[in-house]
Amino acid sequence: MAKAQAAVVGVGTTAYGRLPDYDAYDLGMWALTEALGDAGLKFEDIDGVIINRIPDYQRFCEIAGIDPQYVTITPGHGRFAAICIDTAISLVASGRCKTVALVYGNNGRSAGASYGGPEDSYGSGANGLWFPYGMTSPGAFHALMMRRHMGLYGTTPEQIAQVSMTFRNHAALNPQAVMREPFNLDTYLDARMICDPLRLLDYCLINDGGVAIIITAAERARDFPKPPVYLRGAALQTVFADSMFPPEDFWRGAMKKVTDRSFGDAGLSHADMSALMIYDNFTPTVLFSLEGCGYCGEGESGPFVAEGHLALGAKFPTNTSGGHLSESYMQGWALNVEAVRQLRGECGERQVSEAANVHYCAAAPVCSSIVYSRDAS
Amino acid sequence: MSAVLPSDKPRPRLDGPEQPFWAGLKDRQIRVQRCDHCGRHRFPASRYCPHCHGPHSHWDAVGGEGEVESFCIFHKAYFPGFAAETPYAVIQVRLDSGVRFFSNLAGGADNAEIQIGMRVRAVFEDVDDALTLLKFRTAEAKP
Ligand SMILES: [Zn+2]
Repeated sequence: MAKAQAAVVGVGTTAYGRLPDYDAYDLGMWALTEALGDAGLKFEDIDGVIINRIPDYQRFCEIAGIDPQYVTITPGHGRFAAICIDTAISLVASGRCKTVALVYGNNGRSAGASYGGPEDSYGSGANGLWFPYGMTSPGAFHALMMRRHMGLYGTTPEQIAQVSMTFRNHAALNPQAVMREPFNLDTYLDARMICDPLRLLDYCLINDGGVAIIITAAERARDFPKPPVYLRGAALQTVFADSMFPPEDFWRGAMKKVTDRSFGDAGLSHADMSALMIYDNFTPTVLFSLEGCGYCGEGESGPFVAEGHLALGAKFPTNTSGGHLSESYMQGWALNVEAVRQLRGECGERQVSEAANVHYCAAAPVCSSIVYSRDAS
Repeated sequence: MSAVLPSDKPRPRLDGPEQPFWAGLKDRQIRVQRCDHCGRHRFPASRYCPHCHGPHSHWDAVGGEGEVESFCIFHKAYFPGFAAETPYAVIQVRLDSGVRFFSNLAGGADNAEIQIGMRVRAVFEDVDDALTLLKFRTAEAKP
């Protein structure tokens, strides 16, 4: 087991919701200002910048008044949160950068972002080919996967509902969450179908907001105002072959690889995890992640979630902020911040007691796993 | 607001890299690319083979029988041209040659009939003189 090479020393978030007076640059600046304040750093301390979703890196740095040594920009796909964090680890671990700022700004709600219809480019981007058949949207892609999971393993809508209901209960304890009203099974089942078997409450919430994270080398991490949160393990695995169609294994193979690699680097196992942050663009993704990461067996995620393991106070409190389904769809970024805040003990009513390690993961054509810890080794 | 006609449904690009596919449907054939180097089929089109990276290929007709791998039912109309048909089903089909398509069951099929693993056979549905779509109807189980 190696000692962690990188740590998070600052996190910042904006309000989430409808923020029509802010564009993506403004939201990024707001979050970055918060993160720098959290880390006790100044703008000029940043020597590496990784931009996500904000349209232009040059304009962003011009507005921020910074000239970092290193800059890059990444597409506004949720899978990129972990890719950016993984890259920041490499930059600080290699000594190429001292202080990397990751900045995400999303004005999707006010800008009328749509994930289905003529603008849809989910997956490998050739969706236009299927539009004449009415096939569009990442939601439909996940509906196809969920239907197959139901057919193969007998997973039920009542089981899927548990994911959505549990995260809403968590959001009720999070003042920053956009949707905080708990609902029961009847409400879930009565919610309108969007793409059967997925209902409205299986979909994430498109909102405006920004998130920033400051990462530095582990050996410097004690020199900051807040307790450091160590990046003990991080791994990525792409699944691009034939990815225009849903993966037959529900991304299990790749999720197992990234879990094994990141847990191996961390020297930790499933039982060591105090909380899970699972990328929840749609409820089925949570089920596929639980199976792929090995929290339950193949095909067993339905009964597993129905047993209540994801709730605060249970074995694996998951998406304690409410996640994308109830806090806001910040494309993985806010879930990574929640991991940090849990490990710092900053989560108020939704705090997991004695949180020591938190596992972030995302099941997608780029699968990812990150292990956050209070201790460096 | 003007009436939404079925012709408001999105149309594919007929003169793009998949032109031989669309032309094939007019001839009641499913033509997909076949690699001249390794013999594998692929669709949509790409200049290089994803398997062997060879640059040469030709368009080859494949059989129209296959199986429904999954399906979903759209209650939301992302395209106005589909509004009158909601809830409508999209099926994910794997032809016996291994090539996959998203499609629909041809006219009149009941969404409740659709099952995973169900055998289907290609139907060529003429939209107008320029466009024919590849759809499917239920077929007998494989002997
Ligand atoms: Zn080939």
